[in-house]
Amino acid sequence: MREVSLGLAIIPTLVVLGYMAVLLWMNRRSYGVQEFNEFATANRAFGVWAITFSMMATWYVGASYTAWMGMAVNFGFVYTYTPVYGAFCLILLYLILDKMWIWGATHQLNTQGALWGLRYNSNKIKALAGVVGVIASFPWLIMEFWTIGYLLSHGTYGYLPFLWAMLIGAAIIAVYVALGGMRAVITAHFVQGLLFALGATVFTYILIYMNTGGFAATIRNAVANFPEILTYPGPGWNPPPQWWASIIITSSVGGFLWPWAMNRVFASDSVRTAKRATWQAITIGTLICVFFLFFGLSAHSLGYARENPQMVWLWLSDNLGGPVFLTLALLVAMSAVLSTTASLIHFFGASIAEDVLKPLNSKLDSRQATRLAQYVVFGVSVLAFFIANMELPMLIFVALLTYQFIIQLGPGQLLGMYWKRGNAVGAVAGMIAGLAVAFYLTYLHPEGISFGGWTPGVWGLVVNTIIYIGCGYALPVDKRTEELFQEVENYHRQHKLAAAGR
Amino acid sequence: MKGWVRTAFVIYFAVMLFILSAPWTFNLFINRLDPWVGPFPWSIFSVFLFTFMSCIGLAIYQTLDIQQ
Repeated sequence: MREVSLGLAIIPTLVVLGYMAVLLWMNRRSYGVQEFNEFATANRAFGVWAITFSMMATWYVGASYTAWMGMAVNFGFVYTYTPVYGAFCLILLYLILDKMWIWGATHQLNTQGALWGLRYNSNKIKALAGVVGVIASFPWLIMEFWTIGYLLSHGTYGYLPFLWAMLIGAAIIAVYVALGGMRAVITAHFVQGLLFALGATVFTYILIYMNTGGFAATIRNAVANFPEILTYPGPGWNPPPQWWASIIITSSVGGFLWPWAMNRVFASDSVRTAKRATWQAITIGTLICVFFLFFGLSAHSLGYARENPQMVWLWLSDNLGGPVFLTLALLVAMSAVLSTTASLIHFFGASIAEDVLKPLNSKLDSRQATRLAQYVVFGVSVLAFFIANMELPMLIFVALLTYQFIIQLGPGQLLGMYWKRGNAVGAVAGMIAGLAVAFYLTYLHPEGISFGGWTPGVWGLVVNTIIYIGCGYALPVDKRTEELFQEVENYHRQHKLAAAGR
Repeated sequence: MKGWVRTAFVIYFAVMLFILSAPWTFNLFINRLDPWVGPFPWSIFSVFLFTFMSCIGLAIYQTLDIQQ
């Protein structure tokens, strides 16, 4: 960023600090949460638009404005895998969410691990699914903490040092998440999601218009000067088409399995709310990606942007509109990063308390579990803060790599919701085999493209699915699973009768 | 909702995903500049077209689903 006087740098600094203070203030009624269900799911209290914006605010990470923006700037068309996977991960979620919600409400489920524990009738599987989710999610938390520091420090023209920027952002999120639980997370998400959606469309279009003159002019400019950016794979590299298919499959399956995103379903006040919120989030999310892609194509025409793709969002805003535009750009990007970070650290608190500590100590009551979850929120935040301050040049690579592993929960979660024959042996054996294959192929092909041009995670998923289905046919259906599926049918029957009676 | 309607929608989503991502159809359906739709190349236009068609499909499915 350019050098400016303190008088100019104070504008974005004060506005963003004020924004964070508003987030703390608006959540004041959520503070003092005592019961664990309240902390983990806000007692399933939220309506359609709160869940819609919470889904969007959670799914669109802060790195959308750094790493993914860089992808749009440097490679153009490849970025369009983002709306595709964003849509299909939510479609996959939609296909299972009625069972998730019904079982969640009936059995007071709070986490993905608890869902697995119920479906496969095992506390060990509950802990295993919880631990896999925690390990796979941790690199994302570090990346989001790093992004907070990066955005705040650059967005204040360097007057707020990276370390202090990250500390302030992380501390504010940890406070409102620990004190207010899911209610605070989703209340803040409503504002953050709204700001993010408006910024990502209206403000982004203004930047595109000022830089290259609108959508059609941006395309004309690209055709005249760098047409290769309009098709796969874009300039400077040559991955096979299988790589395109692989990233869509792994991101779609992985995206719906992130435990810090799918637990929005448990916070919805009804199945209907969750379903309506899902398609609304998909549609708004796809629209946002249109604007981001055109922003990338527009910025590609600038040499500085191509050389510093991670900085382009803040840099171009400052270039086109000075500190006022920079402030707006920073607010929009901070909304994305704060919201995802809040979802992540809330998930760590809820999941470690519910999936790991509760099975270890069956005498743990609801209030004690809440206290433990709050301690975990602070503990995880401190740990991520220290790691994010280390030299981590491959962080984005590690974060993307986690998709190869989180998708190994896919067969157990997706097929398990539809197929009664799916069983605990198949879910665990398939997951372990899938993880082993994904790890081994990643070790052999660290560049991420293995046999036949497919990524290691896809091969792991194939092996995992075969084992899951094989075990399903080899073992009998257990009685408990029959009862669970019957619960869903009973729920629908009761609601049909109630509707007919009205 | 009748079982066959649910199955039909699942097949619809699978076809959309196949068109958008499968390496065997990718260069045939998606990854090319022609035909241009107004000022937009087919590559970018088609990705958003098929993705929005999936969104609309889900909206219709959801409407039928919650009317149940």
